Amino acid sequence: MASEQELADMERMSSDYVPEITGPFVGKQQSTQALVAEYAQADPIYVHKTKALPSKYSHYRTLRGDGNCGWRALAFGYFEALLRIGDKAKVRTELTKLQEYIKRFESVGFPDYAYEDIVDVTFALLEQTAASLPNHDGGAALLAAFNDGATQNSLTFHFRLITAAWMKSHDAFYADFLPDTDVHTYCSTNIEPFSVELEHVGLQALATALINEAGIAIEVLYLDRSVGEEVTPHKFSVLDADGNVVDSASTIRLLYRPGHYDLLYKAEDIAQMAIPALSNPEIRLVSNTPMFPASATTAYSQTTDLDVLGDIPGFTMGMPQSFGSLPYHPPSESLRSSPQKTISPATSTKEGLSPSSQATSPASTEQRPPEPKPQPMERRFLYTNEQLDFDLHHAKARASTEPQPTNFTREDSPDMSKREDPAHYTNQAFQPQMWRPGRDYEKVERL
Amino acid sequence: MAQKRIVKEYSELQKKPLDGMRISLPSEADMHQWQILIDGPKGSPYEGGVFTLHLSLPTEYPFKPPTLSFKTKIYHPNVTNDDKGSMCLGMLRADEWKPSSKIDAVLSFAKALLLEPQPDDAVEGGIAREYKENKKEFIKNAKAWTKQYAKK
Repeated sequence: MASEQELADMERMSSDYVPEITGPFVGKQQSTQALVAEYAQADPIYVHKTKALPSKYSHYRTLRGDGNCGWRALAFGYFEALLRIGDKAKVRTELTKLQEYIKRFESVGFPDYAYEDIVDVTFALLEQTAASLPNHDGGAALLAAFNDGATQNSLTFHFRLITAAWMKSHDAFYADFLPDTDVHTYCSTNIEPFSVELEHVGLQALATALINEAGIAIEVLYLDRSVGEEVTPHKFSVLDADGNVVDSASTIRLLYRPGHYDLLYKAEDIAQMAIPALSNPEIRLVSNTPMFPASATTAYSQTTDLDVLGDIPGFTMGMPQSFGSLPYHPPSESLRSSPQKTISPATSTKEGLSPSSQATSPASTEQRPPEPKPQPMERRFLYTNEQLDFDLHHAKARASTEPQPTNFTREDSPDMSKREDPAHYTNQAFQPQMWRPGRDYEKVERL
Repeated sequence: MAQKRIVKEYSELQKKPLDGMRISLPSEADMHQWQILIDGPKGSPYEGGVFTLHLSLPTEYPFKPPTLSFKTKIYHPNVTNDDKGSMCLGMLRADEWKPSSKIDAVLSFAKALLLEPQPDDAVEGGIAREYKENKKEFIKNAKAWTKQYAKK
């Protein structure tokens, strides 16, 4: 029998054990087909749910499973949504709001040195984001910032502090969510400690305090064993002044597997992100209105059903690659360009497209599969300038988001090759679990 | 990044030292390594001794917790009885550490632990059992070690 000392030593070893965690803090966008492949041999519930993913959500990003993944996903998602919305003034408003939020830190008693270094990092990144608009880099700088250890620690912790300060200053409200403890204790055991994973209450608080307030919705998609053919959604919606849900709000989508969060994207998110980063002057001509006026973002998102593309005669999946070859008749005089303008496929797919998934691996585009034969197609639609702009970019986005099983490798670059975070599915302790109301957030990640 | 914070915490502790503690930097060039002298608290078996502690702030501080170790040998259930003298403090565990915790809270906690050991959270099982089952013997041993290793 082990002596007390041996038991104490074992106890210490187990409590000091830190699982090896690999992968980028925030991975590059990759096709959700990778998830289908990952779960191909899994339980039928998972097979069904992952198979249904790519039709709705074209891409995802992995987050490092270090206990901060949910928080980091929200922080990254917030910045990314701001970039997607593309409104410089809005980013500056967010900066001002966060600067004023420091008063709340003071009022709940955070000592100044606990947050002053930290908030500076967030402010600097917001400044940088604002400065990059309207012609941003498709999120490459954000991805780099969130993969710098010290920077992402700081950004992630700032979001924890925002959440804790919000909960503490609304403790009567949050007390109802926490039957077993009081709000202040909960914050000090579950929100403020670094590497304690995001739970539903914290998510709700952060949504209310900052993210929904910024006009950004959050949707959590549960990939678990619950009954159903698809991931189960839970949405934290943006409400307008009358309390109605704003459907067009830019959305951060979290893919939740018990104990772990990743980010999920719809094709339209990627299309929106790609728009201002166009470098093809011929395409710029089409959008000679301001790239992303604030009012336009609403219009875009209200009509983001990509099925409209299906209404275009001859529009097929292979379409984007051949897009450039179609004789293209600009619909209005406002374009002030030759009516026989054509768009070269090479530039529109390689330079303008999905910078967020390719920006840091320029060489990767070389691995594209051979382009299918062009399909000549005529377009004679009375499109407004804006609509045409919209359709063009969505068509381009589709090219980048369409599942292409042969080109997974293009997402890999040496520094990102360990993008998979194996913790949640190679870990023997990880078991797909039943969703249990009230206990749905299990801390299996740290096992 | 946290340099500003560390300097601030250090100078605050110099201005308003904690009772019975003296803090210094073994090397002025390295703000991440602190030396702390703690007087054995009155009423504890460590009274009359002076204990040297080492506080190390990791490069990722405040996102990773500091580590605290006794350089002076001490008979205590929560301090390892080896050349490391590691102190087991709940608040310094990676999963309990809050980046908003102040270093003075860490040091105050360490001092409180000298006054009142936590045998249920022990790293030295034998000493913990003695503390619970035969306090008289524990006090005798702790005093003897204090006299032997921590004499002023």
